[in-house]
Amino acid sequence: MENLEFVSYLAPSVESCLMLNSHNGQQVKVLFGPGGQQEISGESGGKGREVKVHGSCAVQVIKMAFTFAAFCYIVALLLSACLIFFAIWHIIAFDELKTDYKNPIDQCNSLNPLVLPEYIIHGFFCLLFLLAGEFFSLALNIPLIAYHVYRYAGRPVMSSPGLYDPTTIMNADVLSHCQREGWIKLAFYLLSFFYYLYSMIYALVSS
Amino acid sequence: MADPQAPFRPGVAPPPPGAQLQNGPSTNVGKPVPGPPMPGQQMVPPPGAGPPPPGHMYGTKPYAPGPYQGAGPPSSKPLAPPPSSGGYKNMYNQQGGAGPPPSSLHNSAPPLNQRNFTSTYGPSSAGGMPPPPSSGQYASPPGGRGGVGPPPSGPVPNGQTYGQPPASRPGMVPPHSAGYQPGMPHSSRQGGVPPPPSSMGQPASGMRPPPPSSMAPPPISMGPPPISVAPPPSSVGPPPSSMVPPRSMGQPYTSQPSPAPPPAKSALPPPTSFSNQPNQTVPSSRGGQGGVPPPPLPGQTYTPQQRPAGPPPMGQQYGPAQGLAPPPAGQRQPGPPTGPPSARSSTAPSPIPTQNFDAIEGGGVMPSYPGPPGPQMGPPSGPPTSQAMRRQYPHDPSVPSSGQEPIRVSGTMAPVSSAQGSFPPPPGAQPGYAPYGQVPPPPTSMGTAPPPSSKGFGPPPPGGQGMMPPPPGTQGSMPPPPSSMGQYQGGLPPPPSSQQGGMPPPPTSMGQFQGGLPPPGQQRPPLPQGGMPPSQGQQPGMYGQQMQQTPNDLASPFGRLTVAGGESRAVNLLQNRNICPPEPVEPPKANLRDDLKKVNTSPDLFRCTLTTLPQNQNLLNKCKLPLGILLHPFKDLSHLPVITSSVIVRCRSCRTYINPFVTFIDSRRWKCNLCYRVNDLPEEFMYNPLTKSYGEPHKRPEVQNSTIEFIAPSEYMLRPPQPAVYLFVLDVSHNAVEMGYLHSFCRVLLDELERFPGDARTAIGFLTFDKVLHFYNLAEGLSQPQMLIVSDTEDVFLPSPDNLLVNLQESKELIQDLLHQLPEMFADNTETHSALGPALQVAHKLMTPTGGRVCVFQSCLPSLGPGALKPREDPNQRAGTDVQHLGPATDFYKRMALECAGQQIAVDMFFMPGQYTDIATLSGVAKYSGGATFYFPGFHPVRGPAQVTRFERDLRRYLTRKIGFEAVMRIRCTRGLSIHTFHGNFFVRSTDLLSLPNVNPDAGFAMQVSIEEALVDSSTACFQAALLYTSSKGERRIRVHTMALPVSSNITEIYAGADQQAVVCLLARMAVDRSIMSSIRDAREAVINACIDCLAQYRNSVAGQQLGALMAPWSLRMFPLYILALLKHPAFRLGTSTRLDDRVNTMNQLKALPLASNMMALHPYMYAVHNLNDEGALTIRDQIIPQPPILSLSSERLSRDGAFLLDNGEGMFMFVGRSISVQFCTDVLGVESFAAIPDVMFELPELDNANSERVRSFVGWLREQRPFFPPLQIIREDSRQRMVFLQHLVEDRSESMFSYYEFLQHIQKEACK
Repeated sequence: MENLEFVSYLAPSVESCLMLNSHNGQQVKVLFGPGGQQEISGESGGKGREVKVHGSCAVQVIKMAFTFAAFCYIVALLLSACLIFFAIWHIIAFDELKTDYKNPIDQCNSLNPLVLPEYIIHGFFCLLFLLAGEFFSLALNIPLIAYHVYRYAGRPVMSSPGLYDPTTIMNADVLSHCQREGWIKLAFYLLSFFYYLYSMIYALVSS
Repeated sequence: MADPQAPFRPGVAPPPPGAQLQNGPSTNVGKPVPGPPMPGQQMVPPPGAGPPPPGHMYGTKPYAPGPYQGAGPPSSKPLAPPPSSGGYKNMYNQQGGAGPPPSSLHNSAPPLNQRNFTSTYGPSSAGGMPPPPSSGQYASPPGGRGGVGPPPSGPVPNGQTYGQPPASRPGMVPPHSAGYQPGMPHSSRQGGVPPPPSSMGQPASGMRPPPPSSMAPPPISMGPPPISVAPPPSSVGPPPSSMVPPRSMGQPYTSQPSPAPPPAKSALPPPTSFSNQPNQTVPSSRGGQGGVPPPPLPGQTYTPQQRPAGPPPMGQQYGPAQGLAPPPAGQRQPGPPTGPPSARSSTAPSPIPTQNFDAIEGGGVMPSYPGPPGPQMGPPSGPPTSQAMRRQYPHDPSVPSSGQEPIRVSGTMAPVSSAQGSFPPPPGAQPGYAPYGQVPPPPTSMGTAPPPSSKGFGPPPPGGQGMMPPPPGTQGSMPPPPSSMGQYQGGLPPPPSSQQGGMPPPPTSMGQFQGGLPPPGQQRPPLPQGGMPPSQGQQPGMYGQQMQQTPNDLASPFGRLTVAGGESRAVNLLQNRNICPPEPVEPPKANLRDDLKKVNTSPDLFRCTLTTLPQNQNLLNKCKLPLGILLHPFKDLSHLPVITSSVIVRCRSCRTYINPFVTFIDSRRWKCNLCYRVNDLPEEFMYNPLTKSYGEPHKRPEVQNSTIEFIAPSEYMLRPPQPAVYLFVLDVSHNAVEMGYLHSFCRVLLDELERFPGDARTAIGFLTFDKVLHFYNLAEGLSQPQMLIVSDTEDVFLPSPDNLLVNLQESKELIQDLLHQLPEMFADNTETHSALGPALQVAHKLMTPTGGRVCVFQSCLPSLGPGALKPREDPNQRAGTDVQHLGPATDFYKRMALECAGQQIAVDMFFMPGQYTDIATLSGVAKYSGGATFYFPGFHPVRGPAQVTRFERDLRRYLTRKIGFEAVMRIRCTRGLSIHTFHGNFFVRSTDLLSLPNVNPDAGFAMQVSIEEALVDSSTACFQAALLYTSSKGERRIRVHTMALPVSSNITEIYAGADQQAVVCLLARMAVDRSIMSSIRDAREAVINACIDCLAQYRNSVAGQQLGALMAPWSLRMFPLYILALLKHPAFRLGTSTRLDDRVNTMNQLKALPLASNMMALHPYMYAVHNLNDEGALTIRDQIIPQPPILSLSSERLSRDGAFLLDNGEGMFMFVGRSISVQFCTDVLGVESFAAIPDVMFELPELDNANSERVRSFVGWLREQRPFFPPLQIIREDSRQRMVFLQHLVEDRSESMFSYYEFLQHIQKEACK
């Protein structure tokens, strides 16, 4: 238990949670709060709970519990579902552009406001992963974060947030690039959705 | 400024500071305007306002009293809603336009006014005006105009005295004005800093730095005359016998048959050679360079003429040289008509049938057939005299000769003018043609309301039936008559499919062909031999015949070689340094069947970088050339068939317009050439109005012309066609006033007011701005214009709902008044701020109901309100190795442009910057709204007279040129091709649709094309550009251009068909994009790599490895030179001081101008003018126009005793050598000697002697050929300005860039890696 690492306060007034890894790789939850040892919500199911004491803390090694990691994955799961919708919207929008259903100006006006929210949502759960110490999941997302940063840094001169410039969007290069980006993101979000689902369950069930 | 007004307000209901209405110049206060004040008037002026406090800034003083009287004006409004205006308002209303119906005007108005401004509409009469002087000056008649003068009224911010005497104005320009760079007024190109003389070399010798030796012998000698035979010019086309002109002559007709072309390579291709002077000796030819031996082609059809040309003069190797250089204009008889005129001649809207016409209409049939065809023919016949003819002129002479050759007649020649001549008068044929004649409307197709065509069709020429004679089926067989047109038809009936298919030589055509002349070899051997030397007799010969049109002058020696649109021959560039032809380079012709070739669209209008399309993307990638099309869709055409028809036949699935390249499956169905769908023909289409016959759909003009215009029925309108509406937005800040452009502007506008394109609905308005916006109420019935001022630049509004845009005819007097007053009104303006952004916003508001054209004159950086900019350029970095700030600083102007585009408003920008104006940002508003930009650096009446002249001439052209409103252009291409990227000024609305709020005849467009699916369905691929626009007469029209190109899977053919000029222009546009997105460095590298890759690939796949040689396809022989020119172009050069604005402007020009202008800018023409003579001269309208050869851009070509004229399209520079003859000085320049030539000299004096006349007529002729006016500057060899001239010599080494030879070596090294 030496490597106790303080990560965050989930709910400071009630209890403080620390995530740490025990040397045997098990997930451990240390609880300490005003009332001394406490149980966390009932999800642990009461199975195989082992409590060790380290210093003044009460440490629980949880075989199954609602950890912060699990929480992160749940959030990520929901948000990535949301991102999937963004991606689908994006794809549809560009398809409409390509098939001439919409005017590029209108289309850009509808797409641009969505760009930052998407980036922010994605960044948010990546941040959660960081906080939860889910470095593998984070690593999976880092390339996308980097791409987002790169993309936004290279955006055309615009006075409003967004990426898409109606004057260049119809260039086949840009159009096909955006379309491809849409499909790739969709695939990525879908895969990551299932990955988060898996991870969430894993986090909840892992012993 | 807002503040100033404040005082004034007090009395009045102080409107928000922002909005103030001041009466402008209204006339007399004293005299109440007749009109009773409107009750409803918003103007409510502040009674209190009355006496302006002395201190008031704005016209307050004057206005005060007046205002109310001002009521007058208001009254006027009610009085007269000009009918016309009403008319169009209504229109708008219908459209949902904002414009309130006239009646409602008053009412509606109030809200606005009340809200913000205190209006003092009062016409302050001159009398009322404090500054009496003004009144005096203006001497305004008390009554109506008297007010004229009141100019000062609003504008003068400080309350200073109003108008200065007009006279004073001009002088006004303080010499010291800040921004200007006195140094080099005119040289637009020039960096701000005068180039250090040293750069080139020492001054004296500097001229020809590198190869001193070369200097001496001016290669240029005019008459190099290889041509021994000297048929008088007129006789140009002397009968074969006379033709004799041996070697040199050959050029024109590429085909010098038997006699192997002279081996020697003359440094100077004797361009004019064949001119008249027989005696001339061969010019100094350079022996050394091994020219490529010209291939002797036995088979040549042309031979007759050329044969005579005997053996080339000895040492000359005309080989390459000649090939390059097309014969003097005159010579080109055969070929020229087809394509040639292009580069040079085309621009001028000459009445003459331009090549277009020729090509399109069927070999200029018109002209050639004088009488018969018919009445309508008239115009065409006229041509000879006209300008365009110059080039073609020669044809006539040729005719006889050609006539002799049966072959040509038979149709091989098809397109060529010669063909015309050749036709004796095929009776049958004539009728056919006649119709065409009719069709083409008078030169100005646009302008004229009544589409002649429609009429034309109606009355088929008597002979009309003639067309019919050759029943479709039979035609093919018919040898002679059907010749030109016939072939096509012939093809139709029989095996439709086969024709289209890429059958090489359609049987039908062949038949004719052969009839004429049994082609020596097989019929066109499909493959041009790869690197094959032209020697193969037969094949080449064949081509020669078939292709006859190809006679691109270029090809002269190699003419026979020309294969399909190109020549497969390879050239070792390292050994052929003098690759520049003495004639403009001709575009290659697509290698199509003759009949198709004949009708293919003119290269002036539509060009493709690869005239033979690769079959798939892999092949395209392999050949390393960009694929794209360059388009000049709205070019002024002298003959354009216009069709009024109830049905416009289009493909049902892809909406392609029917065109000459479709296939008729039977008489009721046609197969689309773009999507291959089979469509039915509507019943109406079966009737041919030209011949008044039924059942011959393939003879309809739509199917006979690849460039055609339809009058669109109402389905093509989303709203009633808009009227022509012009709004002028003028910068009147201190900077602009000091520059004095208002004088020029008003003068020109007054002159041209009558000639604005438009109809009775034409409306016009003015808006001036400095720190506030001044509007002018020009309502009909006012005694003088009223100025309304809005000073709220953060939230602009229209001070009056109406009468700011007025009917041109009805308010002409007021407009003239205003134009007389304007320059004086602001003469003392000391306001230095410029609120361009708000001005554009309000212009947008003003124009929203109608759409139209906004023309902005801007002289400084906008500094107020939205869109304010900060200077970004660091003058110390001008010569740096990388350039920042090529992109916009804000997207305000782009958004503005898009808003405008949405309302069918185009914004044109005229920049007259004294200092940095951030064109990169400001031009955005023109770029995306389909506008144009004009740039006059160093505009100043005293220091930059050349720019002033240019400004005035360009403005004239601008105001009177054709204009198309609310246009869209759609580019369609054969299935498998797709448009990839667009270049030009427009807004791309969908993948193939460009929105062009305005389209003008000087706009060029380019599109990159990619091949998405292999083109295996057909042997040809087509592009169709359809431009739908509203003419200034309120007609909806569709102009359709269709270009067909062969498809090949053989890389050799693709190289042979490459169009080097188009390739370079497309690369330049791509490089501009790259510069903006990335950096100039990147763009330069990319361009160099494009060249290296291409030549390396050619070497690997076609030419074979040869040590120490840099082989290039003949079609791309000038490619490296053009690339080098591009790198030295002000847009892309590094290391040479270039102002950011200059650079950005040239980039904009590269993107938005047509190919011909771009080529002139990249690779200007240089001529020696010290020894002009009449050899080879053209005669136009009794004027003799010398035709000196074009010199390559190297200081080798300069000589100290010569005078050289360099023409880059935007300006002309005459460089006078130190040892110039005294005679030249006195005769031409009007000074005693070289030393007496002033340092700054513009234009040539009109002297009455032959030399002067020659030079002036030559310069004048060059100018006539282009839409805009290039001012002439005369530069002494030792002048500080000489860099202006020398920087154009792209073959020389410059401080930071290779010389041509070094560049070739570099490429060779890289390519052979």
